[in-house]
Amino acid sequence: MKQLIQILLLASLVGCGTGHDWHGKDISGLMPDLAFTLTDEHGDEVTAADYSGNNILIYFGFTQCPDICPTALAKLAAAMRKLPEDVQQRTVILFVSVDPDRDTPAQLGEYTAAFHPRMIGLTGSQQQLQTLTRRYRITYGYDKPDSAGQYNVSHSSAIFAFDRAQQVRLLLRDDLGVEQLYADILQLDTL
Amino acid sequence: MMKKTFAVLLLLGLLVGGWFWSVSMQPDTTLHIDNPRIRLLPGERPLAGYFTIHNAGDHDLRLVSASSERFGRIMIHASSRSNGQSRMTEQAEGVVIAAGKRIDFAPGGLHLMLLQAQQPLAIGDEVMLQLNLVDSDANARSIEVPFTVIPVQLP
Repeated sequence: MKQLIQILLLASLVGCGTGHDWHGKDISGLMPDLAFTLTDEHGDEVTAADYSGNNILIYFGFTQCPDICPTALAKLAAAMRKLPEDVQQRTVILFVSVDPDRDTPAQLGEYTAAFHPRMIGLTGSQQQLQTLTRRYRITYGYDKPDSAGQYNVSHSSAIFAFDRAQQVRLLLRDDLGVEQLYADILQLDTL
Repeated sequence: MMKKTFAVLLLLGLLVGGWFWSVSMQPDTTLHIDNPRIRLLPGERPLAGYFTIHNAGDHDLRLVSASSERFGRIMIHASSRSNGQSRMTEQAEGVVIAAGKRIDFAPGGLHLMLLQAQQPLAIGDEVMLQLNLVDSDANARSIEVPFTVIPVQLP
């Protein structure tokens, strides 16, 4: 009996071995460090290294998305605004548009400004986007355009979180609430 | 004689008018729309319309479409997630609101996708949308609903 309790205790310790209590899924070490080459809102080519020293939250979407993307981004922005000012200053939300045909750098700039000053819109060529999405084992795709040329884009629903050393840490579901996102970003900042 | 004819006509008119009022002008008490809102995004992007619809009647209703002078096109859409992917699908058959039921058109699920705003919208604006429904006997029924334009930023 005593042995069983010891085993259970040990198991519970292993279970929270990192000492962190995340709302998101801890994926530390399960995916590679952040790397990409994309274009920012100013039309400049950027790489992951340009954002080093920041806690990084990456969300994939498109700006013609009326429901899911603004819902997720509004929650991330609200979570950001709750953070102490210094934490906000070392955190960025990278909104990666997988719809480069419609989302020009200028379009992205207009869009992200509606959410948070630390949100940055990025996009790239199909090859650049595929290199990044494959790296994190996600996909995106385009529905057939309708008669008006309108088309929908399917994209990953999760938010990827990287620490300030650009190591992958968390997969945050987009149905987490503002409080939960806030708590996880605050904790991410302590890593 | 003239007087009598006039009185009969007046009576008839009142009867017909009363009948007309009773079928078409009475406030609809069996269908309730709560918190109708349009979430504003910058630029000319498709917007989402949200609301809660409550069918307090004893017949199932189906929301088949929505229309407005303020938008070129409105579609009923549902967002969904599967295997970590988000997508959006048009609800071509509409959405059934069973008798006595309440359905939420809310972020991350059912919504109206509003395309081609005919003029710029501002936060606080009221925009009339017509929701078009049919009942189980295929009787059409429409209601005008004022939607409030709200910011994308959470409070």
